[in-house]
Amino acid sequence: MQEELNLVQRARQGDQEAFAQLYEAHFDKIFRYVVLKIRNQAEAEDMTQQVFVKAYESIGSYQSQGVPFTAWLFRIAHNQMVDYVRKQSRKPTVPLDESLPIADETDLEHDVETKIEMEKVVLATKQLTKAQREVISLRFAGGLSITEAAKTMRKSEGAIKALQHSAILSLRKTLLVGENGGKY
Amino acid sequence: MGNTKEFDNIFNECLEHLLTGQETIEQCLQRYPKYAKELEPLLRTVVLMHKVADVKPTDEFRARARYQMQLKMARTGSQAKRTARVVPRWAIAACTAMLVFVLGGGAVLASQNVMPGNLLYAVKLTTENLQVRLAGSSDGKTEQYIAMANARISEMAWMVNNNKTQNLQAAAQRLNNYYSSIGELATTGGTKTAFSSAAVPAGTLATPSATTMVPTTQTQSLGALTTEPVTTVVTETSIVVTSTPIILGTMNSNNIAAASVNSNLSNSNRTAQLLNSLNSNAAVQPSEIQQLLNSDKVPDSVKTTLQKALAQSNIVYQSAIDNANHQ
Repeated sequence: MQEELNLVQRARQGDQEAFAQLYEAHFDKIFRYVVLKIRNQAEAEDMTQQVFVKAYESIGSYQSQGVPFTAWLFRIAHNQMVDYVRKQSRKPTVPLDESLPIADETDLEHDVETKIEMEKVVLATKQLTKAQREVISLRFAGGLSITEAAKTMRKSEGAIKALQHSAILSLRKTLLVGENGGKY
Repeated sequence: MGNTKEFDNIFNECLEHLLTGQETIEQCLQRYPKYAKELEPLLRTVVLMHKVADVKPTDEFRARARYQMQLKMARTGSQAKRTARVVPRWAIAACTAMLVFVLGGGAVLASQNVMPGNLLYAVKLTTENLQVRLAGSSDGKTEQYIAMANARISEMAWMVNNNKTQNLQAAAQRLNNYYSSIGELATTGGTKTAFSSAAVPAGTLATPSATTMVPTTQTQSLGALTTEPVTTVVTETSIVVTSTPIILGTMNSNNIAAASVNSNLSNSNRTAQLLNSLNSNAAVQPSEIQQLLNSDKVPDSVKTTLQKALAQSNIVYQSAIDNANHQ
């Protein structure tokens, strides 16, 4: 944590090497968070790049008071996505199986099973509230701690835990309904 | 259920341990047998969700994004030092040379011959975008976008013929972006900066992931990428001098000749060349898109994007032809 603070401090003063280290440390997390939310690989790749360009352009004005760098970065990503959703709201969406990359692309059978599972889960996340979805994305895709998620969403840690719990319950319920063909 | 608060705490603790890999579901259930029945389905959902979220960026995207970031930083750095310069071309050239150096001199050239899914496909897309960046005039940029549209259409036909349809959507989206850019150039004359969304369309850089190499015929355009920056760089900075032989080493005499001829074209000749290109592609590209639309192998979602591209192509080409005729 102290190391990151030092990097952020150096990056704020224009140290490009420091920013590059922050970039490397957070790149995968931001990409996962974005791709999970917009479910379009090409768009997610572009947006991930935009997040870091924006972060690079704005880091000089970043104030660490109470907001960790990670939370600040995810807020940028969140805001980019809000803009994206606004622009895309009238365009047709890209189905998950067309664009979402998966972790292991070498096992075809595993590929298909995983994609089916992923599709079910992603469909289930549509039943969540915005806040629940955000917590799940930050925690599971972004890999943020409860504290970091709380700072990002400007909520208490207790609220994050409660949202997380209710989201998992809701996902479980939706998946169960799907498995039973609509019956409990 | 027993104490709700106690259960919540146990659930959160187990979830944390699962996410950080400290514990398996079974280990957690063994520690809390009293709550095992209620905990298990929730923890299995947690693991499933975690698996869904475990998406990794491809190596190609990682490399390309890193390069783009370096480019951004180089541009910013040069602007800070030399505020009088509007476009620090040497920075672009330096980064291009760095890319060539890092990937190996032959990689950029070889990348011109690859199809979506190949590791070098990202280099191909990046090279194309740099060619737009370095095209200079709006006519040159338009020609480059036409060539890029042709490349994407050929790639889509190849993907359909080879049953590699997973990357069709990305290619179709890029095609749409190119047509948008051609349209913008026809109406605005390409006044936006080269790395803005207009000059380098959003989505043009995404990369697919199979592993087949198929020859295409795009090597000539590399000349436009390599000659201009090298000429500039040699006079401005010593960094790229060492890279110059690498870049030139990738060019054959035809590339150099083509680049030279291209740079000597008069404005009227250039416009005539563009008109010729627009007229021929205005007829060919929509028909090729239509062929893709007629294919059963193309998923409906991709067809939606292609239909948009087809509609755009008709409007955009007409607009560009009208614009060129009035020059």
